[in-house]
Amino acid sequence: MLAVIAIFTVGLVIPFVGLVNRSLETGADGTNAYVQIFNNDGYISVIITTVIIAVTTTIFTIGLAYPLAYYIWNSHGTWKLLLLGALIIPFFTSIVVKNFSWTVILENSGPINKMLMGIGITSEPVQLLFTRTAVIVAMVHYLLPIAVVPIYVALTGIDRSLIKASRSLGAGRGRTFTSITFPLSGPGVATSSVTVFVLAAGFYVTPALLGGRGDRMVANLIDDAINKLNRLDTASGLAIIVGVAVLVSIPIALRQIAPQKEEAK
Amino acid sequence: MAIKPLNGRKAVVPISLFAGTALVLAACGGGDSNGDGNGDAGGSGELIVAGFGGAYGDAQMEAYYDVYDEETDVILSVLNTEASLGAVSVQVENNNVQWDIVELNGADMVAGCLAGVLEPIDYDVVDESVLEENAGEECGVAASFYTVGIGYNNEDWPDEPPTWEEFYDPDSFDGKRAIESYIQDGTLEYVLIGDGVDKNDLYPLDLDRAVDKLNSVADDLIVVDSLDQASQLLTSGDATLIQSASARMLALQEEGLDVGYNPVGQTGGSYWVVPKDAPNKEAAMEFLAWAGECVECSTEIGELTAYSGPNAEGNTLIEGDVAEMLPSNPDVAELSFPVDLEWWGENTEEAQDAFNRFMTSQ
Repeated sequence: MLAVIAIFTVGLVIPFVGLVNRSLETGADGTNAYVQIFNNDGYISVIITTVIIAVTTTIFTIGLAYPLAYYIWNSHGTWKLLLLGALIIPFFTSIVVKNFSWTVILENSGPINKMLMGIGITSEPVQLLFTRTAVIVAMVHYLLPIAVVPIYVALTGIDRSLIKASRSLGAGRGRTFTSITFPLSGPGVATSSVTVFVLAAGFYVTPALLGGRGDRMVANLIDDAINKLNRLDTASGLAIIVGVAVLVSIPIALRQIAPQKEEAK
Repeated sequence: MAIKPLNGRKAVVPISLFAGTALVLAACGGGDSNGDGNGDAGGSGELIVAGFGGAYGDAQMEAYYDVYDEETDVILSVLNTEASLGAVSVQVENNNVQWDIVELNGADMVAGCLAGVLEPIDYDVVDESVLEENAGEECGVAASFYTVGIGYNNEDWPDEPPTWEEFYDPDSFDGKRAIESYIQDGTLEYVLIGDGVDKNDLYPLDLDRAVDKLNSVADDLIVVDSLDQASQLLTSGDATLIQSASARMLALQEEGLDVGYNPVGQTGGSYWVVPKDAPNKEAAMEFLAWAGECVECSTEIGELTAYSGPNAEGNTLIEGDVAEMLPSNPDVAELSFPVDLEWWGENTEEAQDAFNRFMTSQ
C-alpha cells in the first residue's frame, strides 16, 4: 500500500502540482495562461471541436462495441475463443501504424475511391482523407476493442437463468433484451463509455494524420505550445482544462446511464 | 509505396518528450555526478547529442558523429529524440540538463538564445573564419543548410516549373496543394509571395494578409504536419503541388518517380546548440570547432543529403547531381530567399497565432 501511495505521489501528484503551478504563472502582459486561452477564439474553437469529436466517437464506438460484445457473449467453443483472440490482436499494433493505414485506404487512389469509381457511383474521387469523417472512423477503429472488453465482462456477469425466466414468462427476445440484458450490462456500458470518451478527448496522432483544417484537437495545440512556441504555461493550462472538462463530464455521463440500472431492480 | 511518416516530426515528439522526462527523473541521482567528474577533461569524456534521427540522422552519423567518436577519446552518444526548444527549456529551468548538443531549426535557435536557455558559442574555441556564411550564430553553429520549395509532377508542368503564384492560384492547375503546418519552414512567406509580395520585401511579415490569402483558397489546401506526408500525397495524387525540401524530392526521384523540385523557398539552417549549463559544455564547444573545421564532413553531408554543411570549403567540393540542389548553388540562391532569423526569433508566437487562426476557422 505504501508503495502504491509513493508511486502515485511521485508519478502523479508531484507532476500535477507542477502542472497547475506552471499554468498559473503570469506572463509579460500580467495575465496567466487561462486568460490567454479563453481570450483566444482559436483555442476556444479547438476545445469545442475536441468535445464534439470525442462525443461523436464515443457514440459510434459504443454503438458498434455493444453488438460485438453481445455476439461474443452468445458464441460458443472454439469460435468464441477465436473471437476473443481477434479482439486482443489489435492491441499489438501501434496507433500510428493503424492511422497511417487509413491514409492509404482513404486516399484518392485508394481502394475505397477505386471501388466507388469502378461501380460508377462517382466519376471523380471523393475527398475522404483530411475530413472529420476520416478522423472519427480511425478513432472508432482504434477504440473499438478497448470498448468491447468492459461490456463483455458485464455481460458474462449476468445470470442466464434470469433470461430463461423472462423468456418462459412470455417475454420475446426484444423485450428480454430491453428489460433484462441491457439494463444489467449498464455498468459495463458506462465504464466503456467513460473510458472511450477520456481516451478520445486526448487523441493526438489521428487528427494530425487524417484530419483537415478545423479537426485539430487540444492535444495538437498542446504540442504546438511546447514544440513550436516554447510556451509551457499555455500547454499546462490546456492540459488542466481538458483534465477538468473530462472529470466534470464523467459523473454527468454516468448519471445518464445509471437510471437504467435502477429499472432493472 | 514507402511508408515513412514514423520519422515525421509530429508523431514521435510527445512520446519522446515523456520518455525524456522519465529519463530526467531516473537520472536525477547518479547521472549528474558522472557528468561533473568527466566535464573538466576537455578532449575526452562524454558527449550526448540529441538529434533528429531518420535518414538525415543516419547521414550525420556517417559524416560527423561516428568519425568524431573514432578520432578522439570522446565517447559520443546520439539520442534520436527529436529534441525541441521546449524540451531544452524544461531541462534548463529544472537545472537538469541531459544533453550537451541539440540540433534546432534556426528560428528556434534564435528564440532560445533570446530566452537565455542556450550557451553563447565560444568563438575563441570555434574558428569562425572557416565557416560558411550565416553558419556561425551567437548561440549556434549550422549543422546543415537546406532549401524549401515546390514539389510537382514533371508531366503536369512540362515547360516551366510552378511558382508560388500558381501554387496559390487554384485556377492555374487542378488539384490540392499540400502546405506544412511547421511554419518555421516558410509557409507564411510562400503565401505572401503567392499573393504578390516580392521575395526580397517579405519582412516584417504581413500576417493578416497571409491569413486572408490562406482563407480565400482554404478549400484547395491540405495542411500536413511533416514533409513525408506531403511526399506521400504527391505520390498518391491527392495533391498535385506540395511544399517540400530538396532532400525529400531527391528521395522520390531515387525511388523512380518523375517529379520535379523548384527551389523558390527560403534557405535556412538547422543549428547545433548547447543548452545552458550543459554537463560537458567545453567538450561540446570542441566538437563544434571540429565539425566547423572538418572539410570532408561538410562535403560528405552534402553528397548524402543535398543539404550543405558548416564548412565553406567543404561545400564547394560537393559533387554530383546534388550540387545543383544546394542552397549555395548560384542558380538556387537566385530563386530562393534567406529566412530572417531575427524576425522569427522575436515573432514566432504572433506568426503561429496567425496560422492557428487559419487552422481553426471553418
